[in-house]
Amino acid sequence: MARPAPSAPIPGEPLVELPLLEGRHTDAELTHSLLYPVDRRGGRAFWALVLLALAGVGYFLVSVVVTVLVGIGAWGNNIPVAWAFGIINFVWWIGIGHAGTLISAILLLLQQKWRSSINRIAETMTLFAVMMAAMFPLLHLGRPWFFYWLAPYPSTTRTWPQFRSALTWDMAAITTYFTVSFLFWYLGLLPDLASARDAARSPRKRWWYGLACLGWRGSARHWYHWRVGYLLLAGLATPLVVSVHTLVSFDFAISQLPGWHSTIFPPYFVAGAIFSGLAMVLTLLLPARRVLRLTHVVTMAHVDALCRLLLVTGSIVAYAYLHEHFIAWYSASTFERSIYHTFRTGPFAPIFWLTVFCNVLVPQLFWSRRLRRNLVVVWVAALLVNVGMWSERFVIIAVSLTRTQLPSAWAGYSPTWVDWGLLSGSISLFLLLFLVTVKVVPPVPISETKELQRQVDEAEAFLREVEATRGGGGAR
Amino acid sequence: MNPVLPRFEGGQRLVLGCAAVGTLGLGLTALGLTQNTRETLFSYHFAFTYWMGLALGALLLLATFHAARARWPTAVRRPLELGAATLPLFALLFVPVVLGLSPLFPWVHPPADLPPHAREQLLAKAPYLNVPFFLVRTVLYFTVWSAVAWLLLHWSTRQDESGDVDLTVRQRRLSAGGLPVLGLTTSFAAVDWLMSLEPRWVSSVFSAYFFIGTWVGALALLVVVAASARGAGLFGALLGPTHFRLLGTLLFAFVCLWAYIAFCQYMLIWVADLPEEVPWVLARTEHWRPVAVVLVLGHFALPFLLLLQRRLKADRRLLAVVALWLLAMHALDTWWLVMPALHPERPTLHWTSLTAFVGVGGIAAAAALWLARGRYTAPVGDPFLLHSLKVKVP
Repeated sequence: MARPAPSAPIPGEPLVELPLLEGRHTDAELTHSLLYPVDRRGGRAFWALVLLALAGVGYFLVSVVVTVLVGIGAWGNNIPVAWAFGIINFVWWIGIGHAGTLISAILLLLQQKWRSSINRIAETMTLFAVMMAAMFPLLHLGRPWFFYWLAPYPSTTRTWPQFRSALTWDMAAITTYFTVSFLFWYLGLLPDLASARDAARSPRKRWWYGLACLGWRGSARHWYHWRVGYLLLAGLATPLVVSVHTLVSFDFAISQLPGWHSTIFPPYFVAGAIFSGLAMVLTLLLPARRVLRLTHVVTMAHVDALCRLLLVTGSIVAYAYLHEHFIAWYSASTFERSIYHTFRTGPFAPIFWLTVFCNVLVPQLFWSRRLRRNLVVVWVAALLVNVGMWSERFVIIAVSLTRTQLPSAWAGYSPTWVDWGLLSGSISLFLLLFLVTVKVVPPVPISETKELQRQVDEAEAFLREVEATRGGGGAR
Repeated sequence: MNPVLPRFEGGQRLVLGCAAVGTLGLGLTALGLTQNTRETLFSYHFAFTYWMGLALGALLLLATFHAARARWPTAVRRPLELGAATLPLFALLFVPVVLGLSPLFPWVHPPADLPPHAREQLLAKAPYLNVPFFLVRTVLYFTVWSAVAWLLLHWSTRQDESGDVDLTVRQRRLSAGGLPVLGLTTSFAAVDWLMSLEPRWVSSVFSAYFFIGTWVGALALLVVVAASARGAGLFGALLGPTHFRLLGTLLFAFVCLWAYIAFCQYMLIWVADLPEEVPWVLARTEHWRPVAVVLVLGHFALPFLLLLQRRLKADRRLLAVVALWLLAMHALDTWWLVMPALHPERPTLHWTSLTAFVGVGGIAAAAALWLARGRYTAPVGDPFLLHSLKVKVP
C-alpha cells in the first residue's frame, strides 16, 4: 500500500484529464515493454529510414570535402555577408539542443513529473544536436585541422586565442555544454543499462551492457549516490544551458551592427532555442512513441504539456519580435529603423513573414485543447516551427549583414549547393545517429518510469484519503 | 466556520496605523513640493514605482501560478490576490505624476539647450511620446491590470463559499489568456514611466529588467507576509518548512534571473559603447558606483549564497530576514533606476525620497490589509488547498 501524498497529477483529481501512465504496470512489465525497442531487430521501415539518412550523409560528406578542398569560397558567403548558412545552421542546431536540457534538468528542478518518460529522447537529441552544431564553426574556420588553436594552450608558437572574441567564448561554452550533457545523459542511463544487461539473452550483449553500466548493482548506496549526482548535474546544467545560448546571442549583440546589437538578444535567444528544441522533440517523439510502442508511457498528457510549453516559449519569442521592432522604431536611429524596415519589406521579406507565420501564428493553435490533442496538427505545427526558427536565424544573421551602415557596401546573398548539402546533410546525419541510438539504449528511462508508477500510486492513495475526509466531514 | 481556517477579523489597528503613517508621509512629501518641486516629484515617482511594482509583480506571479496550474502555491495565494487588488489605488496615486509630467519627463517640453540632432530625435519619437497618448496608455494599463486583479480576487473569494471547481477553471483561463496582455502592458509601462525619463536612451531588455525586479520584490514580500502571518485566522499557521523551502527556491531563481538580465544589459551596452546607449550606464555605474556595487553584492551575490542553503530556506525566520533584505535591495534598485535621471553626476538622497516611500507604502499596506479583513487569508474553497498543504519534496 502506497503512502498517500499528492506526488503526481492523476485523472480523478479535479481538472486533470490525461494520465501520465496508461494503465497500472508492474516493474517487470515496464522493464519488458521499455526494453522492447532495444531487444527487437529493426523492421523494414527502420532500414529504409537508415538508408535514406545514409544517402543524405553521402551528400553531406561530398559537401564537407568540397568545403575543405576549395575553402569557404564554395559557400555563398561574400563580403559583407561573411556569416551565412554556416552560422545559421550552428545557431539552429545548438538551439535545438536546449530543449533536452530544459526537459531533463530544469523540469527536474521544477519537479514536473511528466519529464520522466521523455527525458531520454530529449537528451539524446541534445547530444547529437550539439555535435551537429559544433561542426559548422569548425568548417567555417577554413582550415578545420587547426581547430585546436581556439583552445588556450601554451604552445611554442605563442598563438593565443583572442579572448575578447565571442567565438572563443563559444568554444568554451560548447565544449562544456557537450561534456555536461553527455555526463547527464550517461548518468541517467546507468540503471537502465543494468536492466538491459539483466534482461539480455545473448552473453555477448550481456557483456557489453555490463561494461557500459559500470558494474551497477542497484544497491541502496548506488541509488543514493546516483540521485545526489543527478541532482547536482541538473543544478549545473541549468545555468549552463542559459549561458550557452546567451553566448551565442553575444556573437551578434556585442557588435554595433543594426539588427544585431540589441540588449534583449540573450533572453530572446534562450527562449527561441528552447522553442525550437521543443518543436524538434515533438517532431521526433510523435512517430517514435507509435513505432517503438511507447504510447502507454508517453501519453497524450506529454504531448499536451509539450504543446503548452511550445505556446509559452513561442509567446516569449513573439513578444521579443514585437518589442524589437518597436524599440528599433522608438530608438529613432536611422540605421535601426532602416534595417527593421528592410526585414519587413526588403528582398528577403518573404522569409521574415514566413518566420512570423511559423513562430508566432502557428503556435497560437495550441490555445485549443482539441488541436493540442490532434497528433497530425501537432506534428505539422512542430515541423513548421523548426522551419520558422531556421528562417528567423537567416533573417537575423544574413539579412542584417546585407545592409550594413555603409550603403556602398550593401550586397545580396544566395546560397550554393554546398550550403544546402551541409544543411540537409547535417539533418540526415542527426537522424542516422538518433535511429542507431534508440536501437542501442532504452529510449524511455526505465527506472524513472517505475518511480513515476509509485508516485501515481501515492497520488491515488491521497485521492482516496481526501474523498474519505470530504465524505466524512460533511458536504462543503 | 470553515474547518481549515476562520475568517480574518483582526488587523484593525494595523490598518489605521498604516493609513496614519502613510498620510503623514504623503503630507510631508507635499511640504517638500513647495521647497523643491522637481526633486520631490522624482522622489515620489521612485516611491510610486516601487510600491506599484510590488502590486504588479504580485499580479504577474499570481497569473503565472494559475496559468502553470501550480498546486503548491495555493496556500500562499491569497496575499498575492490582495496585493494585486490594490492596483486601482495606484491609478489614484499616479495623479501626482500626471500633474508633474513636465518636470519629470524631458520629452514633454524639450529643454532649450538641447543639441539639434537630439531635438530631431525627440521629434521622431513624438508619435509615441506625447502627453495625450501617454495618458491614454496609462488609463489602458490600469484598466487592464485592475480588471484582471479584481476578477481573480472576486472568483477566488467566491470559491471560499461555494468550493466550485468551475471558478478555478475561470481563474486559470483568465490568467493564461491574460498573461500576454499583462506582459505587453507591463513592458510598455516600463518604457513609458521609466525608460522615457531619459528619452534618448533605449534598451530592448529594460522592460524585462523592470518586471523581473518586481517579481523578486513581490515574492520577497510574500515570504515576509507568510512568515509573519501566524496569528488567529492567518494562513501562515498552515505552512510548514516545505512551503518556505519552495518559496525560497523560487526566490533564488528570480534573484538569478534578475542578475542575468542586469548583467546582459550592462555588458552589451558597455561593450558596444554607442553614444545613445552608454550615458545611462555611465551615470549609474561610474557616477553612482557605490550604489551599483551594493546592488551587485546585495541584490545578487549575498542572497545567491544564502538561498543556496536548504536549511536556511526551510526556516521561516531566516528566510524572512533574507526576503526583507531583498525588499530593501529592490528599493535601492528602483531608486538607482529613477534618480540618476535627475542627478546623473553623483548619488543624491533627498529627504522626500524617504517620506514618499513611507507615504505610498503606508497607504498601499493599509489598503491591502483593509481588503483582507473579513475574508479568509487562504483560498479555503480551492480544490487544491489540501494538495498544497500536504506538498512533498523529494
